[in-house]
Amino acid sequence: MPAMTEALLKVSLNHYLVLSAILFTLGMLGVLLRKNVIVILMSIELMLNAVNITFIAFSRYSGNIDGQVMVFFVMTIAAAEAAVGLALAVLIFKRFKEVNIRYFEHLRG
Amino acid sequence: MGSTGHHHHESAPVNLTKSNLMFVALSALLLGGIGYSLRGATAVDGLFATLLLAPLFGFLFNGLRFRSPNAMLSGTVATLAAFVSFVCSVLLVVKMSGAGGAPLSAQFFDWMVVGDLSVSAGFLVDKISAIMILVITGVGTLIHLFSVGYMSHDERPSKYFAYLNLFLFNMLLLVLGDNLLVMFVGWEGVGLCSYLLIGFWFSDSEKAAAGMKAFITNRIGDAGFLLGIFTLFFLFGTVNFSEINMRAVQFGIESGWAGPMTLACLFLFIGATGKSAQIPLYVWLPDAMAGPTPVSALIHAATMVTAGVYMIVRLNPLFLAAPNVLHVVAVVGGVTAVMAASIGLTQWDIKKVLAYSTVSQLGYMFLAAGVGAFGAAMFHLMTHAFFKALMFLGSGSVIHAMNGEQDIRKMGALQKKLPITYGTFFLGWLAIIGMPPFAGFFSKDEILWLSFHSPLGHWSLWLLGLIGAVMTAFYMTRLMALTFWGKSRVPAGVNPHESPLSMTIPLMVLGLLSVIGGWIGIPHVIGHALHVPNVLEHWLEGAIHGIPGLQPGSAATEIALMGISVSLAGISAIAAFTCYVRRPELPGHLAARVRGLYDLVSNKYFVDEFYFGKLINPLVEGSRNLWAYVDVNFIDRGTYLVSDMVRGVGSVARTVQNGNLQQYALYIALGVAATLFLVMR
Repeated sequence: MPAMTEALLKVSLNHYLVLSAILFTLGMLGVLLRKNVIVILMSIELMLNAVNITFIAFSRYSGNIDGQVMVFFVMTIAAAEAAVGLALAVLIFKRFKEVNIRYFEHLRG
Repeated sequence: MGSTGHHHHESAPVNLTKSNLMFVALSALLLGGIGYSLRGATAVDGLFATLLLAPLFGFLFNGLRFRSPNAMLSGTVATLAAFVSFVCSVLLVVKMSGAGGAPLSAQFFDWMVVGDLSVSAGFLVDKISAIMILVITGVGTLIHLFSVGYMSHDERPSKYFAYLNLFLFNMLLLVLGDNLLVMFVGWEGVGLCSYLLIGFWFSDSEKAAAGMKAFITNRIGDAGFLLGIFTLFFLFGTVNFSEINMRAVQFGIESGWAGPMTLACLFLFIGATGKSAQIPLYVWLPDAMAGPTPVSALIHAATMVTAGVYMIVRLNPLFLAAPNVLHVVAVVGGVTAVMAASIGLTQWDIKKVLAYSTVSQLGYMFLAAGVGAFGAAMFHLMTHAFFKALMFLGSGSVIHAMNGEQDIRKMGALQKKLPITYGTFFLGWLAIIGMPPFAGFFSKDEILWLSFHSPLGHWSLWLLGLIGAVMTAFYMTRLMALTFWGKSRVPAGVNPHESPLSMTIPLMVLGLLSVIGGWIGIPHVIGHALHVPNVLEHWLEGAIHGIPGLQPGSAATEIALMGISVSLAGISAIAAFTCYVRRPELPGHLAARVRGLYDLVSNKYFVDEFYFGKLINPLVEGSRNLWAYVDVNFIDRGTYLVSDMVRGVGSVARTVQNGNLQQYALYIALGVAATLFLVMR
């Protein structure tokens, strides 16, 4: 599969970065525009993983393993964040029978 | 107090143990403080520390148990504290004169160092402050002792003794401080204690008002004093006495009116007129008699009111460099001496007579300082402290015996009922009217002679002094006659009795001092014949600058002037005796003959009315109008406007923070985008 290998070799750092930027923007739009808490959490995951792609790409590009180590940390934080976020979503659902982000306004004193 | 009195008796044993504990704790604190200040220090530092801290300790002890009605314990502690200070003073003075008279000093710590201003908590005993601390602690101890008896029936003796000890502490700060700022702390402190003690019986609104009058009048003087300090610091860059005096001598004599040293001295003198009750700020002192009588003796006769004189003597090289101010001092002193004495002629309250007498005698001290005779001022300060404290305490003994009556028209013939009080008061009387060889003769005579003879003096100043002396002899004899001699006018139901020993012992000691106190300053014209030296003059040599350009005077003139003043005072006293004992109807006829003048004088020249009518009330009215128009209409409006603007802006800004999480997230996103844009540009 020389064509395949050739194509893969043509994928440069910029491609990864553009992909990452697109994913990050999509995630951000999701966070800003969607009302469903679960979807927002998923969008946040998308943003985090877009960052992860950047890390991996730079790590590979510069031959430095540090970026890949950082990705593990980001994934750990993402897991913790998802756990907390889902717990909040469950509570919101119990209270209002819906998981709309607007309900968090009720936290206002 | 009536309802809580019961409670006190119940809890008395508890109080005692509590106060014992407190005593131990305070003693530890005091010893610790002394120990701390003495790390590797000399015995002199220790004496200074003990001298100053003993009254402070007494204040804390009595102040912390101020509810206690135990006059015996409070009084004992307070008197002991004063006595410890006295012993330290004596030791310090002995040490100083033993070391050839060089000043002793102690620097405890740097108080403040700000830019050019460097002030240390430094204290100094030289020959001037030596006289002061001996008088303050010596007479102070006697008056504390007297107070134990006098205040034994009072409801709040602990508070009283706490104030008295605090006063002593501040007074010692005032006279021992080696710079103007430490002196100012004491100066304000004694003013505070004076206020607290004048208004000690504050439930009587008149007495409370007297306290406030004293406080506010003193504030006016203090403002002048502060301006004086500022001017001196601006001029010399220091507030230290010895440096100021040194620089003043270097500056030379300032002959104009607008010079900086003249200005500074004038400001300081305004401070002195407030504290030492001179024209125009003397009005508070007669009212200050509302306080307990021992307070009048200690604060308003013997010590605090002499602070102004002391300050001028302390800065004598500075004042000598501003001769115009000295003329002002002399004239104000002389006029005050005569005016206050004339008011004293017409007063009926035993303490008011003594109060005006004090104002008058302070006038003599300023007269002396004003003609450059600073030694004579200190001499009269000392003898006056003895005989006036004696007379105030004597009047206290009389008032105590008369169940609080102070009107001399309701007294008379008390000499048999109060033999010791009478005997000692008699000595004080002879001293104040200037009969030789009693204390007042020597000091007053020296002032009269030097006000005539000094190049800074003038015969008119001598005449003022002479008129004052004649009036003094008259009103004092009148006081003696109406109180102790003649027929008894004591109302039925009052049985005067001699006071207890704790009150008569101070009287006897002060009586003795009123006799012999003047012998340390016997003038040369007399001393030469008797072969006794003028101890005081030798003592003060070096500490006080001599009068510039003083020629040796003619002995004949001095003796003649002395003869004139003594004989006129004697004649005046005999006239008063005739008026009030032999022919009691005579004064009334005389007063009726000059009704207008008499009314003017007996109403104190309407000075209070003038101050209220022309100064205080317009000022209060003006302030009220300023508040009602300017403050409400402009200043308040302005501040409301500002606050409304802030509130308006805030309510706009508040819409940003509305609780919508996604909007917050948008802010973050926009912020990141803006930052990126700025960084990447």
